[in-house]
Amino acid sequence: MTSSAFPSDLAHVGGYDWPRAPTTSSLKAGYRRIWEKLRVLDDQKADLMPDDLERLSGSLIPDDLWTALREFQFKRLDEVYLDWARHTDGPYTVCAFVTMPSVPQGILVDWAKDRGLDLVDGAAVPAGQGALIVPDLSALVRRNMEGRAAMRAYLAELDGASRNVLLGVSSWTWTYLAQTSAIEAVVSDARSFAPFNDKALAELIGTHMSHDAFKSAETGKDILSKDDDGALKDSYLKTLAARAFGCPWAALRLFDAAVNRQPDQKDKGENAEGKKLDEQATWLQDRAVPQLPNHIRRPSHFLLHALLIHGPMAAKDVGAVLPMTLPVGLPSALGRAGLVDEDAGMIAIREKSYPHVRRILSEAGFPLDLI
Amino acid sequence: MDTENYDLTKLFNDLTGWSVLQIGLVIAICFIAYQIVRFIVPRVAEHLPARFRLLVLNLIPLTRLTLFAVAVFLIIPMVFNVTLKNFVLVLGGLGVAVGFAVKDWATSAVAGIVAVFERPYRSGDWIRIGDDYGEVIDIHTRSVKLRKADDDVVTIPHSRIWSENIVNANDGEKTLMCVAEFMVAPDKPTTGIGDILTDVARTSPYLDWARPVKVIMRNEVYATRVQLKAYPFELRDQFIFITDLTDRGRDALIGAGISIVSTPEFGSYKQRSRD
Repeated sequence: MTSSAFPSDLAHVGGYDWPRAPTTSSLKAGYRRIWEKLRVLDDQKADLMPDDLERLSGSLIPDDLWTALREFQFKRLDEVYLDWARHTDGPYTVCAFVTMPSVPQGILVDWAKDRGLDLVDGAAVPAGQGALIVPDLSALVRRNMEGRAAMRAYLAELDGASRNVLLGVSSWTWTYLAQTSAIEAVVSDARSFAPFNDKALAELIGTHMSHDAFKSAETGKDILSKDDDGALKDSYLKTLAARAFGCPWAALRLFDAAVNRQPDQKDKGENAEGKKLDEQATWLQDRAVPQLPNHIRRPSHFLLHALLIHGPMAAKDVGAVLPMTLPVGLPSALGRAGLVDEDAGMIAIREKSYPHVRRILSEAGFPLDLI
Repeated sequence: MDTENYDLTKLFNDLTGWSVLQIGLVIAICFIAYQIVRFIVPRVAEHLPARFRLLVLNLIPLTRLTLFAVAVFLIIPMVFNVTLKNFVLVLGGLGVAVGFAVKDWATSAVAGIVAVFERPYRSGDWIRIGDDYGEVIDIHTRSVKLRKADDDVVTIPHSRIWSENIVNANDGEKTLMCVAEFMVAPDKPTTGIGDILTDVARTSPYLDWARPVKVIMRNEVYATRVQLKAYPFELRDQFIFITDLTDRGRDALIGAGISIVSTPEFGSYKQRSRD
């Protein structure tokens, strides 16, 4: 999976080129969102889309696309970190690899295991050869007095480490630490996956899903068709890249959630010959951002924000990082809204809902992740 | 004399029933338009991202001023025969009327127009005028309405901007500095107080991460006054933010063995000094 449209390197934190939606698209979305919040509009209208379409219950994204994307990103990690990670002589440095919460959990663990690198879960730097990979620093961060003392001690230990260390950290945890602690004095280099823009997404979708014709419900145009200059004619993917904040995993999940097609087209073999192109096309209609009930909106924002900073947490531990009394059943309510998952007593932001969660917190004025 | 009488009779246009109806319609339309804006804008603003809320709320006084100007511009030619001489006559008469009858109202209304452009306060700002501190919830022609922390609404005439200092805590920004105060015993070491209180602020869920946190200490006669200064990311969280800082800050200081001066002790210090 190589293409000139794909990013060729990791992005330096602070230099992440956030994809932007076309202005008209942003204005339309903002206008729509206000009306949704005022409960004037309940569901999105799409006059251009045929009436007999259904949302797919399963996923349209083939497994080989996910695999190819993962391999592509592994190569980017190899190019930047592999030689450095196998380096055993000093001087030793601490690097951070910052990922959005929409990047699959454990991607750094899988890469490190695959490349035979040392992994450690706890806040310790055991002696050894080559780089030490800390897969998830977020799990070690606690936004309370004890947590800050522990983080200071850990940073001091990292500062004196006698081997290279790569910290895997969520973009929210990184931003919190960068703005409220001395982590940037200890970490010499922080990078993240580079953003996928509309062209990269078009390449990704076009290569692995070439048998489908995708149409935007907003404009009725084919989202993959290009003009003579090679630019995409429709702005759907540009908007998608912006809504996913450049994260290809988030973009593909939003794309998948937007799919509408005729029930008989789920099975490619049943494609009726001779049907008009409009009838055969797979239509894309973006789902609305979930609405939170008014009476739990504010505490929900604080809980979502805490989960983004700390990663998955046990319900009983939430009180240690949020000095406020949350309404009983709040995690369940957020689960019903499709924003969090509850599994074995752990609450976590639902990966596929991350773009919605970030947007909700952005609108509420909360401090956001900056990469 | 005849000429003077002639000019005075020509001062006004003939007011027919249709003219009166037109004037009534202009006033009604402008009034309804203003009420619609006053009804819709605050409701829409509540649902906007925080950074746009204050901006949108300020459409209300601007709309009021614009509609007032439009109404005056439309009504004057219907009532008056607009010539330079008539204009001077009307202005003179108006001056006398305003000077004697509605002086206070006019002073406040003019101050209100100045306030729209000079902007000592805007809708959504947190301001202090005299003893009253609260959020600007409405700006009328004559007065500004504040909602205080205890939910009282105070109406203050704009004319006070001529004679009093207006303290604006956020000045159009989406945040403001909050201060939590602690009085610690002056005869004990204060080592670590700064770090402890900085940690307290940086672990608050209400904190605006991008703004600085500062700890200021000052010796006073009976205690050392410690001020923890930080910014919440949401203006309306200021009181709960100060509560959070005070609550956890006090516990953290006590936990670190730092003595907080309590009121009886404070009193006994005073008493001792008097003795």
